[in-house]
Amino acid sequence: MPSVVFRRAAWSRHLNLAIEMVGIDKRFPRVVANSAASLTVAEGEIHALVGENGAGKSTLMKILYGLYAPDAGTVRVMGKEMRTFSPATSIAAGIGMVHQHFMLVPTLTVAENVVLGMEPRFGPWFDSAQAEHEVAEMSTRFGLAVEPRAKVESLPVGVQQRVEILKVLARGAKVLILDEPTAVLTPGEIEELYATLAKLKAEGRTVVLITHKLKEVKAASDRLTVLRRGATVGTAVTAEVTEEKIAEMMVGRAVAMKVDKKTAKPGDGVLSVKGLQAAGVGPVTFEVRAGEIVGIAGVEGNGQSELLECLSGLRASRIGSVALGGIDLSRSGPSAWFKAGLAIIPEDRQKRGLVGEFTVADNLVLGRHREARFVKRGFVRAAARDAEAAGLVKKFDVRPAEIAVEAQTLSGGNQQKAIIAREVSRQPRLLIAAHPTRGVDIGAIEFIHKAIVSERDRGAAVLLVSSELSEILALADRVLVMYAGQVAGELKSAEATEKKIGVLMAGAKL
Amino acid sequence: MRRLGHTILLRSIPPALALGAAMILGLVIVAAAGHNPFGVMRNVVEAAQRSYGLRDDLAYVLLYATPLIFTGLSVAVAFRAGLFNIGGLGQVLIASLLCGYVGWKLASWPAIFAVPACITIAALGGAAWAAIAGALKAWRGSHEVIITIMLNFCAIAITDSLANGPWKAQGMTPQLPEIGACAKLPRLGAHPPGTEAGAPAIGIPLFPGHVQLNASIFIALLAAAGVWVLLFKTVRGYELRAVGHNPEAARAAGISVNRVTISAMAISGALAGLAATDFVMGKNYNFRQDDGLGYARGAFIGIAVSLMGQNHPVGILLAAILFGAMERTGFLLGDVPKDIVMILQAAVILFVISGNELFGRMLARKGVTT
Repeated sequence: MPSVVFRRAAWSRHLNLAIEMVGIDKRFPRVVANSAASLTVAEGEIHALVGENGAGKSTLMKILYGLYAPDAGTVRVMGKEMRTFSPATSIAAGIGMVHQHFMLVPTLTVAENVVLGMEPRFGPWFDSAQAEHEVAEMSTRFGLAVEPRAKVESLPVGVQQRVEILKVLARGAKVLILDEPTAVLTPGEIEELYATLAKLKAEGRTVVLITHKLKEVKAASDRLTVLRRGATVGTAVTAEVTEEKIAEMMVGRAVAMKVDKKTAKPGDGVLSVKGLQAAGVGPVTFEVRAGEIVGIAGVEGNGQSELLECLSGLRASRIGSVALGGIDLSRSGPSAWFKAGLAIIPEDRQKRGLVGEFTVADNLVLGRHREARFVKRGFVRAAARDAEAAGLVKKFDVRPAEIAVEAQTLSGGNQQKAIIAREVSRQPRLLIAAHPTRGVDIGAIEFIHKAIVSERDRGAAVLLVSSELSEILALADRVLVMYAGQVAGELKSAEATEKKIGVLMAGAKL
Repeated sequence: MRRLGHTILLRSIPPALALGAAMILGLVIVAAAGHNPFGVMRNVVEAAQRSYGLRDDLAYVLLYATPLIFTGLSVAVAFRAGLFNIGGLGQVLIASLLCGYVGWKLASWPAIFAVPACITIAALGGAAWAAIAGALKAWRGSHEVIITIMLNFCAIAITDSLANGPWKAQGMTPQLPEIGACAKLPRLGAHPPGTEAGAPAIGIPLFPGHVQLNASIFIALLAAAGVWVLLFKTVRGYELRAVGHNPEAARAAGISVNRVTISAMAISGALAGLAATDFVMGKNYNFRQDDGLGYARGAFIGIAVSLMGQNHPVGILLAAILFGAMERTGFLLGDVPKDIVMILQAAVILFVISGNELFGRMLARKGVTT
């Protein structure tokens, strides 16, 4: 394989190593999570750990954080070898982890959250003044602007993340592990996070950034290490490699970063939304025509979920109307929507897209299971179901290509491919794709994007909801930006830039 | 097929371990109560061979198992739909009352119509009673556990007032008049000498005639087969299981969760109600309030049977026979308190529940799926 193995940059030899993980093996009974993985991070650098889902990034970091003990290999933190593995020893050694899902108590204040478990006391009482003072001091020192007395539940996600970082710093962390930190942030907040990371670095802290977003790697890191199938494929100075190169290292083959698509030829209106209002959304008015992809951008929690529920019969709209193919469905349930020609890739595949305990075959007909070809006098036509499922698994490259396994045993990307296979097989008039590539490998992203574009070219109207700007920009022919439950602006694909969308997403005017 | 065998094997490990653990606990308790556990075991084995011998025991085990099959299946169908039906008591009572009433009123009908009519009314009665809980859950969001418990008390009050009031047979006992001979289910064994002539019998030589084991066990076996077909072969069963596993996904896929909830409760109630075919048509030949209440209480053991049987019809058949055997053992214990059987049953339930959980976690850690 022609993959380049990058040599360790010469300068790092002269620096002290914060972390040195060598020859790490970690096996689970049916999975080899890490095999001969290694990671070397110099003190005071921002190091990106990249790889697809299941490449072993999380396992490697969990070993470093003491949650797992490795089967083989050595771990050195600040030059000292770790002999026992537990979060307590790792924290004592100066390792801190900011989890993807925040571990904060929403009803407590910022200061109370930061000092939780090591509260300053005044006699038997909690010394809140002292806690607030300490937090304020740390906040200025690291440039992490927070109001110590604010309740966490009232804070935007970006600020909550700062609280998490402060919490880790308060415990004396010298090395901070950040797990997919930008997943929940607006473009503006992402910029602020980068600034925070730079500040941490200036303060002499070391940062390990777990991510699969290449832009983030390029923007924030000094060096990077790529994992593939549990092993370290290479390490490089970020400035010296291109995004394409990193992607190739992650996947093991060249990946098309751009989606190949022709100009849209929009036809008749398919979905028409007029003055729609429901709890958390509206009033909203827009139209999606046959043969075009309309992208809905926006920070999560600005009414997209509610809108999607209105557009699939899961939530009743109070005011206004929604029609699919001329049929008013404002007060109809999901089955009427499907009958009118809807297919939907739901935003939460575990919750709405699949029945995890069902086999892949059963899942591939879920929602279509009452079609005449799958039923004979009330009985399931198992042969027809299995034939359909086998065909879809093959066509959409769901792995393992096995229809009798439980869907919950598939990886996230393959679960998503199975859902897309099922929904596309409905031959829909309207395809709604909500965050279709969330948590999906780069290789699969390419495939999913192609599938969506080919649905458009077949003549389906496509509504794409995504918080990934790059996805919206790559796929959408028209972009609507949602803010606070309303459409804050509409941009043609030619005039849509990341900056313009970012401004609208943050609630400002262009 | 290899996968299927694998699954069956994996799923039968927790109940088997639970049974073993419960037995050991039982022996420890027997010892703690001041008996020699091995002596007790020997006594039970000897007692089992006395009088009619093992034929007798087999018949009793099947007799006790019959209602447990019905109520176990009832609980399992609800479980599969994500519902906990603990209203078996009420459903059995209401079904028995109606079955006894119809059997009494249709005394002049030919058996070929009377028997199906009584079976149908038993199923419908249980179904309607349980569907109340299903409907309240679907439309009002009331929790089915609360509602089915409440309905148990309602059922006791209704049967009590009718068996003491307008439908009461002559005499002091709160009961309905006897059902017609045409509505009676035959016993499996031969007529014992000197029993009342009103009891029909098939006369299978294997079974002693004095045991009330009757043809309702065939209805139970048919019901088990029916549940298997329903759950795993029909579209309705597919929808029912989808709702049980993931109601959100089912709803998003266009399945009416409300309809499935109501119909699953109705089917569950119908299965419980069919126990009336054993109690009224096969054993008592009338509805009697006090006996009926005692009989219907057995529905709670149906929950344990369903758990032990992993909510699968085949498992439920085996578990019902096991619980029947435990019940029978209680009569053979001699001077050891019969309470030990209840302790044993309770221990099995606890071990199965905790065993399922632990075993599931262990498998998950090892990445094995069932």
